[in-house]
Amino acid sequence: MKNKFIVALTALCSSTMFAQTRINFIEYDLPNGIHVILHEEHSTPIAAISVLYHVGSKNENPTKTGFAHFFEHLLFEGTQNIGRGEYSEIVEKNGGTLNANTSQDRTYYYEILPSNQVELGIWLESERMLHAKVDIKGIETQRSVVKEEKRQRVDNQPYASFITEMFMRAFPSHPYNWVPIGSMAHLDAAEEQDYVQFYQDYYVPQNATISIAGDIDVESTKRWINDYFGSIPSGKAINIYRDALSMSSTLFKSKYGFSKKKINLDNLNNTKNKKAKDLITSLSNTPIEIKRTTKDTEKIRGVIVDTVYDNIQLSGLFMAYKIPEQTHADSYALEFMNEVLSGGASSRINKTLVEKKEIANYAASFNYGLEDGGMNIFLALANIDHSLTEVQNEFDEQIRLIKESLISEEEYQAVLNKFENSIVGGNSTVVGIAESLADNYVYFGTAERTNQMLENYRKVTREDILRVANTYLTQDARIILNYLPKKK
Amino acid sequence: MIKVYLLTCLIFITNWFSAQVNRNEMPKPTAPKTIGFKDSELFTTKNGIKVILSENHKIPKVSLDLRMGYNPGFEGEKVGLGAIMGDLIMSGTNKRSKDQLDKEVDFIGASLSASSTNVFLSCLTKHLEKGLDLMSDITMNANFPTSEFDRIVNQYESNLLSYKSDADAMAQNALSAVNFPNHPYGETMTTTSLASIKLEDIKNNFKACFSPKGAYLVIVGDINRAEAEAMIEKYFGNWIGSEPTMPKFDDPIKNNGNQVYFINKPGAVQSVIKIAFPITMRNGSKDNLKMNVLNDVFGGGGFGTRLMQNLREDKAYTYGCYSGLNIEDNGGWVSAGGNFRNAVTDSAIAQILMEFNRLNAEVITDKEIGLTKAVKAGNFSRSLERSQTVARFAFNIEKYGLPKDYYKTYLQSLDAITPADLQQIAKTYIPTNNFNIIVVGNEEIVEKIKRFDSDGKVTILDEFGHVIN
Repeated sequence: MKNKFIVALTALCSSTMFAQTRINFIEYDLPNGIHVILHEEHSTPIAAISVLYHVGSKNENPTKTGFAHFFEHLLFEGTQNIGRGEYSEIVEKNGGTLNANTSQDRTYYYEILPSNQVELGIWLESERMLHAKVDIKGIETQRSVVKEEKRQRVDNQPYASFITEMFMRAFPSHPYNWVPIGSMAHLDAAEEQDYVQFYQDYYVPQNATISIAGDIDVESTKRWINDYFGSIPSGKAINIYRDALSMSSTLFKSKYGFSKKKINLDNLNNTKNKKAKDLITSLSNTPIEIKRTTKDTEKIRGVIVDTVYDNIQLSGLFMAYKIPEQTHADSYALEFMNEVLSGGASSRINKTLVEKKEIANYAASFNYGLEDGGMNIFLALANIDHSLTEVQNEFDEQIRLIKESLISEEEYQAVLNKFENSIVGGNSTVVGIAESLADNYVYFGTAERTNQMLENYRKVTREDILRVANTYLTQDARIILNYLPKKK
Repeated sequence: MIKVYLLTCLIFITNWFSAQVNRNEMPKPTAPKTIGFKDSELFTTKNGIKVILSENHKIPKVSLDLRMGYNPGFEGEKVGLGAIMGDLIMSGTNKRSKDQLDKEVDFIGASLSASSTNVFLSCLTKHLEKGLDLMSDITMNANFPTSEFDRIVNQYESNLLSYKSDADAMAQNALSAVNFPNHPYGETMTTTSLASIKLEDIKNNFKACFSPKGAYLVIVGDINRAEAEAMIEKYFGNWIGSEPTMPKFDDPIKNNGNQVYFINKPGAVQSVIKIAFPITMRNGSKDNLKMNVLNDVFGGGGFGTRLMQNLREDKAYTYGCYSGLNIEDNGGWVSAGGNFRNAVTDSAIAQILMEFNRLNAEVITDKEIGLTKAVKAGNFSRSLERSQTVARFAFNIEKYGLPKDYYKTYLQSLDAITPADLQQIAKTYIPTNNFNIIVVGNEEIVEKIKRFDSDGKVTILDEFGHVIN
């Protein structure tokens, strides 16, 4: 009897307390504008230390595409206090791992270290922010390495150029026009002044978010952050400091009107010379104006159909519609819609294109959401003996159906269950948690969104899905790329 | 009062001087934490399933990996039989059509997958009963409908065709074929072998392979021993099957000198290079850890390895150059390489061969071994974050007869490895020639790679790794 009662009670609890495991965190700003997020958990003695810079390929000069990503590579080269090649060695020697990535919207660096090395991670990242140092050998090496990365990931991969081809057509007047890997010719044209400028414009405290998760002691972590990051000059003062380190005496004097010897490089605020001190104070109080891009509002004009010949055997169809920026309320409904269309074996696209009609070897849809706008993409590889026209017709039929009537109650519940499963299972690594908190803070305005995902999806109704399908899957405004095998 | 005053004064002064932290010095670590993990539980069911249970209640999810006990052998003229059988296991049962099955799996948001050697389920604890119902159904009652068989065969036809544009897939086929002649690992699926597979073969194979006898069930997550036992009894208690087949295979021997194999990929802007050779090492061999350390010094991961430092950081030939050590149940192999632009393909091969030779000729420095041990110790500690890791430890100990404290003493064993140990390992396992040099790329490079072949002849392979004459 007792057992039965408890079982019933537990069942009740689990259905009413339908919620994701909470990620607790604290957050605050340093006086120089760096935002700090800390999540403490002790299940494994490790910690992830990350810094997100709100800069990506969309902030690049259109004649220097690929620069943000190239720059990310350069920031592993060394700093004023870390010799060339030592950065990663220090991390690995201390039992850690590290990496970074660059998208259209962000550049993200992280280390995962044993939890008794948190101070080391903070020091490393503060060095990267304060005074990275790159020599000619480093620049030339990384330039070649990045080119190899492009050949490996894009040029030599079947169909991989479709992302570039899509963005080029979907964003004619927005810097999403090009993709993070950029152009090789542009990389060749990059000059020293470009590096200096990019560092001074975007790698500054007010453009950075530190996110640390794992087996940390909050008080000492805060103290280390304060020591290493809090001491980084604020506003425009960081760049007079960097100039004093990197410029020749003559150049510095002509730019600032006094000798760089007048500056106390060990502690900028302790500069004695009055003229220098006054300038530093005034620069400290002047924020850097970070050049932001604006939301993309341009519609696709009509139906753009193009053919791309690639080193492939199976023909492929890639189709895109414009969708709004990722913070738009419709984003959740769009994700929901794509799950109905192509999440899992029972999804509509898999059941029809792949299984019942056997037109496609692989078929999927997904939304590619970004800060300023995005695309909803459909893609399929045609089976031998089937044409891209057949693929196209079947996609159009599925789009017609999802625009015509509400998805079933069963489909709705299945997708919610799937979201629940992945949200509960997500946030299971400290590095994932650090990233999610930082991303949500910077791009969605609140780190707390990490805990609200399930709620956000639950707010979506079947009517919302019908509405977004009709709003965004515009058959008279889309891009269709037919990938065909290169003629021998 | 005076004492208090002095103290405040001191604090004030210290603060004043330390206002700017000393950045020139690398921070020191605080006291290290002990790294530990809970033992898994082991028990055997009445029908012979060996269960490994690793409880972890951090999140309300459970995963179950049911691994069959048989050892897959030769497929002969029907290469691909196992792969297709694996793909068909979820194509319907005596109780459920494929559509029903897919719908029910997706409805609980679970992932359920199958291959020729295992069935895997992961779902929220609250859906576990339903998930197990589906899992046991496909394990015991898969019924292999003709329509799905035809469909999967068609899919494979397209897949096999697309190999021609996939450099990595072609390189992988070549590697298997040239490293493992006359061994199951050397068999690759072709259009001909695919055509000879019949539905009856699949059904017979399934009957022979899927059995509780000798099978392992690895359970991880939010479930306790009593619940696990009850569930296994309920869902797998009636499962019966034959004794698993355990064929044995000899290690391949290679002593034909360096051989260059080329696979043409028209229009390629990079070459995929794999320099490979088989080794006499299997799961459970005692030299595994030392060989692993040697491979890590060489190119096993991270930025600090010899291959990465030489071919990426110094020469900028590539985005990444790695070596892989693969140790399986029936054999092992080493493979080193990466993607290299056409113009430096031959130089890259020369550098990788030079690095292999250095392993034999020079003693590894203390600095390198120190770095590698640190990286491995770090990887080990970080891997404990995933609850699957602890279950994997228990599985390896059980299946490969490792000492019971193998993972408990892992860090000590690692720390005890010396440069002399590694040189001994290099002499035993790394050849001085007898490398298989596999290149997938543009025809224009063939002339330049001839010189690496011991008799100056490049062997041309097709996309399946077979010699073209």
